[in-house]
Amino acid sequence: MSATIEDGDTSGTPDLRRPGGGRQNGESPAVIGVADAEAAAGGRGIEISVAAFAWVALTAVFLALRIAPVFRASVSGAELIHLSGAWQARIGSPDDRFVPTLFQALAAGLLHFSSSEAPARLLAFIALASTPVALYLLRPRLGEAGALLALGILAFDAPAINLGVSASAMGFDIPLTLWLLVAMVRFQERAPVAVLVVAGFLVATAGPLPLPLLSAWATVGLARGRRPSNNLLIFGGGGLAVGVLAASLRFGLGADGLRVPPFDLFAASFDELWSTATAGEVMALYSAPLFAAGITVAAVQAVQAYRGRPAGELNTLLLIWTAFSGAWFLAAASTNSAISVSAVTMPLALLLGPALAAGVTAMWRADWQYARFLLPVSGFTLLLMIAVLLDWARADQAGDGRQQLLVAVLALGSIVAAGIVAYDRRSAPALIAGALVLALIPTVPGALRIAASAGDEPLLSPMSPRQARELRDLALQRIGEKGGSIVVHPAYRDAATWPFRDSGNIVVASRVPPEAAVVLWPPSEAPPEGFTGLDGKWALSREVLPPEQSFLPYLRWLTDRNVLAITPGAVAVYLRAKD
Amino acid sequence: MAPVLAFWGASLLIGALALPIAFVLLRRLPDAGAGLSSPLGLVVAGYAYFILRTMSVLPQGRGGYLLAVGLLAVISAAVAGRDRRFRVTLGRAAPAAVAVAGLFTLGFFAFVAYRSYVPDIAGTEEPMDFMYLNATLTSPGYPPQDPWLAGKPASYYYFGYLQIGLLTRTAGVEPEQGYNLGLAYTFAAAAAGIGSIAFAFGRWALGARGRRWAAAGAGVAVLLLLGIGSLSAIFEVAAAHGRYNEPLFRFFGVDWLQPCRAGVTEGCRAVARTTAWYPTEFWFWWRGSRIIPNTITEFPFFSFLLGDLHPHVMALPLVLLAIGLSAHVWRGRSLLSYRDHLRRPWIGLGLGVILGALAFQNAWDVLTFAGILAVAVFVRDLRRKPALAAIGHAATYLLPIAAVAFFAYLPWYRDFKSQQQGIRPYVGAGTIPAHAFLQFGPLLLTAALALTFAFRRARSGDVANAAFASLWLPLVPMLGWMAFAGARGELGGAIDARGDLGWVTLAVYGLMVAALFTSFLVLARARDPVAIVPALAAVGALLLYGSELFYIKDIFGGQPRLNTVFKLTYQAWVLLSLAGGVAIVLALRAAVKRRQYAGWLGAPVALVVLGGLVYPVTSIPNRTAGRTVPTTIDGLDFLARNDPGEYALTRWVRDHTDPGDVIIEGSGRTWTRGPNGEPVVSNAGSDYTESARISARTGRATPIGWFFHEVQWRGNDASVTAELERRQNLVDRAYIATTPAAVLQAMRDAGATYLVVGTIERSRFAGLMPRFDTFLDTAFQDGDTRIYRMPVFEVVPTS
Repeated sequence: MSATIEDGDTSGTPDLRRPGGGRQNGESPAVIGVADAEAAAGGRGIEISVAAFAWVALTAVFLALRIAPVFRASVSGAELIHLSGAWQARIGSPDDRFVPTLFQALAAGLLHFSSSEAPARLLAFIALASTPVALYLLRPRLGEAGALLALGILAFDAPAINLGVSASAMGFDIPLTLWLLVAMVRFQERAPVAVLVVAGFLVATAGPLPLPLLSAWATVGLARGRRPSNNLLIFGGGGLAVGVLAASLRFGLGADGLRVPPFDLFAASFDELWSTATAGEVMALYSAPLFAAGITVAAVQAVQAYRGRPAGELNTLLLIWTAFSGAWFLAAASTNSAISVSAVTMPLALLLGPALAAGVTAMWRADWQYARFLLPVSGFTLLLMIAVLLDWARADQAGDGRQQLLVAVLALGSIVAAGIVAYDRRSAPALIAGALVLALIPTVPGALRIAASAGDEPLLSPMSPRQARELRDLALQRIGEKGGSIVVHPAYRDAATWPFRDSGNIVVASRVPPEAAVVLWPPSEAPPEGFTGLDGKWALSREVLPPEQSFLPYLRWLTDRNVLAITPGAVAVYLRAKD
Repeated sequence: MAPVLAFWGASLLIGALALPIAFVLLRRLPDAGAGLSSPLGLVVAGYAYFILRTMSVLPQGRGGYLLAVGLLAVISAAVAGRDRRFRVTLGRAAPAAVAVAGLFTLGFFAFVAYRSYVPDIAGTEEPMDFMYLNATLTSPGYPPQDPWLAGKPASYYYFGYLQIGLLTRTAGVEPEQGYNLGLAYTFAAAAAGIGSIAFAFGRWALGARGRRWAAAGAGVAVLLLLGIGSLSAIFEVAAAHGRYNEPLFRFFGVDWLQPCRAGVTEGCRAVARTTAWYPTEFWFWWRGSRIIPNTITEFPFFSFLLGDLHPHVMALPLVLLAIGLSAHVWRGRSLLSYRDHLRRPWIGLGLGVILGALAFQNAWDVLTFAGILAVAVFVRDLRRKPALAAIGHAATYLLPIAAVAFFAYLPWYRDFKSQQQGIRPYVGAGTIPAHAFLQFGPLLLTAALALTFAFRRARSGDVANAAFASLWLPLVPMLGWMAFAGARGELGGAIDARGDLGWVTLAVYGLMVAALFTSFLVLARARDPVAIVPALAAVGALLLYGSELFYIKDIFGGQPRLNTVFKLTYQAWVLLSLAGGVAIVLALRAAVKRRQYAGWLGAPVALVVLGGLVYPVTSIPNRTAGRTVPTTIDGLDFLARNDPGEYALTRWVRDHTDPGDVIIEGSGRTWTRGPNGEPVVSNAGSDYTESARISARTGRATPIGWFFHEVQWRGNDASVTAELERRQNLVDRAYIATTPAAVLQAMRDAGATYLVVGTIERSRFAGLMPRFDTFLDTAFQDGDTRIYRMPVFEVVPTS
């Protein structure tokens, strides 16, 4: 394997500000370099381009960050709700938590083979594994480097990691959305009939994530005066109708009125507790750099488009997609669901990828004469400032006047150093290096923690603790020995469904019935008569509260992620005393 | 502040999204409909929400509303894509769009500033309005359920509530904030709407060079619609300061404002003099809406001052949109017939949805404003075809629109039961001229100024012909009234009962109708675009005239024309404001620029208009005086302060119960123990009280709410009242039954999951309620305030 990168050959440097780059067919400098090397070597041996290597490497990273949660993560958030619904569907018991998406139906089917969540997650993982392929197919429009960087950005997006491999009803949403984009870009109005039918069906039986893209696509097309083709109306509409019919029949579980799962789940994203942190908090904790950079790029491109510089079909679509997703995020910022964050990060990643590629090229070509000294100075003073702020964060209060003055001076120093670099247009692109480092600081640890299924991450909350399943085993053992029934207070009805799956009949009651043998009751209420409490601290759910919405607690959490308050959904367990 | 900004932003967003549709439907207006785009956007998104929820395509909750707004965006994109002149229109309308957005913003924040002093959703019919707002927001199914009659669909024109709900959910604010902000939206949208149309009329009359005069006309029209009130306030101020002239007060029919003589307490003013510069008597301004005896003569400023979110108030922007559409049609040149629908079916569809919304939003409006559109279509066709052919073409254009307007709202018509029982001739005492002047003087006089410029270029023969034709307009209704009353054997009595002064008023109204219509015909014949001004004024005067002759029979038997006068004069106020605002400015301009002396009549009329400002200037401090609490826009803040337990209970119900849950709460009857210890009813009134307040504040259904209002909505049939009484008995049984089994059975019969024991129940069933906690679950408790829930027992399979 060999690869060379041309260095210093400015004549051949691509202009990556344009999608597709300045070279033919979007080839990257690395590819060109490989081609040259290949020519020099007379075409002997196996040559793998740097681009191919990068694709493989990033795909591996993308998948590696997602494989562990398939088997390790506790069931949490929307997944907890939807797996409960899938389980009830699997046993044929009607339950509102079963939202008839295709993934949910398949998950319910997989639960026939195993009562574990892992097979359903594996299904989501397999679908998600196609994401790099979808991005690979978008290279002609995004540029090689742009598509690669978009993959890299998506790979490290913590909310997308969590959503992508969770067995929620939206398990297919991320790959489906990206494949829809691929279909829109590649086929335009001439998509084959089969693609239209399948796409229509999949959209009708998916979650809400494709909705902003579809709305944007419809808006762009209609605003440009394009009428939907007959094929699209007939076959796409037909697929959609079949999907709605399948969802309304709940994939064979019985009719449930007209159901449009993407709409239902979109609405549920505002009303249901899919995460302890709000969408705004999730964005601030995990995706702030991506949002900041992406929105900056989107704003710049929107302004350029407004001033008459044509944005190109794909970029227009991405901008409108961002607008629809952004509106969703803004509306849902205070709701307990992170889905709208992922809705925004996808178009932003696709906008940011090519822009970043252009930025990196510009950074490479920048005048580093002063920047090579000033940027480290700026970074060093910034680090010093952060060190002081960390002290404040640990003490949970701001320092005295002297310390505040010191922080101000350090901040000013950092800004001045960066400002001098920014002042000169030739050296300004060098700042991108600093921005990249700053962006990676919160992004990478967040992604790695979610990939490692860390139990104290607010993104993975609320969750069903493993202890809940142990409690179920204990209760079953008890009634196996003594008879009677398991009684659950109505307050725990939803939380108990998943851990108490496959436990025969349980009784949900607000008053302890005579046949009760094991009772799960609120600790705040008086113990039922004739029962004794089971020792230990029991919980059916567990919530990790996000850091307070101010800078110091956030900084403290960033450097020490074990500081968050964890509130268990405590439950008192009572066993019938011996007669 | 955040909810206010969010609501304002949502209003502007919906207006901006609807701009491409406005550009197509209202292109001929100088601002291309930008001033009316916000009600237009609300109608489109609101209708999409209504019909898609009825079809179960959209889900319940905020997401459903946002999807409807998203659909509006896609529809607008489609309209923009098909509109070849979109970019040009956008460029032309941009400055005007910014101006109307500024006017909207000014109106919105001005009203918010006022309302933040009196935000309480309490008293008058505000609980009912809040109930309907919550019903549209939280109903588990659509068409929405009536929260005050569990299990039954709403039977009212609730589209306005749905639209305010749409804004509330889009902005993400609480319903009690949305209620007040919805009023602010309505005020601002009405200002922007009438400003936009009045400016258009001014521009059409004066051309581009008369832009400043046109803007002044728009400003005066806004003032007339939303900024003036009854002239009775002048007498109120004088009386409050002890300055009164008995003959003058008697002449103007306000002798009841004079101080009471010894031993007399009614028909006079028993309140001491005020020491403030404005009348401090509690709600003195209320009387300004009851000047004509046995009627309601509400006007927009009063509505906004009071703050009831009633359909006729919320309909103001939509009514103005309908007028704008009529003006746009009138201004066009091509022949309108069914061929237009074949060429551009979407326009007919859009018009149908908008006109149908008039009925859905305030049923009284549909005939008047659809009629104006029909006349506009006819007159436009008349320019191209002879009368009969024009009628034919207009009919083929209008009938499909009417069909859409009806069938598009079929799910609503299915559940709607009107209380009207037909038209009757009015045979009571007529309105005296003084009362008519106090109430409508500024509007009638400004609108009459249209006569000063109508005939300036006309030939006397044309005027005579037009006058002869116009006379029929007041004569036909008069002849109809005489025939109708005669047929009922009431004519003789009716002529006497009307009284001399009543006939004078009728004659003045009739002459105004004829004169204004004459000027319309003269101007229309000359193809003068300003002809629409006297035309709208004539319709306004005709509404006043008609309400003196006929009434719609309803259940208010003791005050037969109460509702008719109320609703028709409200419409007249809109039309006369619009026409008057333009007319006074055109008259004054003619006087200034062309030395047309008749135009100087505008000066004394302007003084009368200034007299109309006394009402708002004095009523606002009266309404807001004495506020010691911090300002807020939260309509339930008063509850949080005065009764925290009830407030917590309300929040609990909203947060912890399902939208489909039925809740039993005090129905309105008050019970005490009789001489033998048995429960007896001591008071049976439920309307205008806090009965069913939890239901009103949360949208959760209760078996029975305000009894008489349900009768109004569903009719006075024996079967209706029997059902209402059955439900009231059921509720009372749940509170005064002596055995747990009876309580549980009552709850089961009512389909109820929860039973409320709060301040109201403790006072209405004092000492009669059983110990609920012994057989019901206590779901919520805050001191003595509790919510009990039916015990839960359910076997849940898990394998």
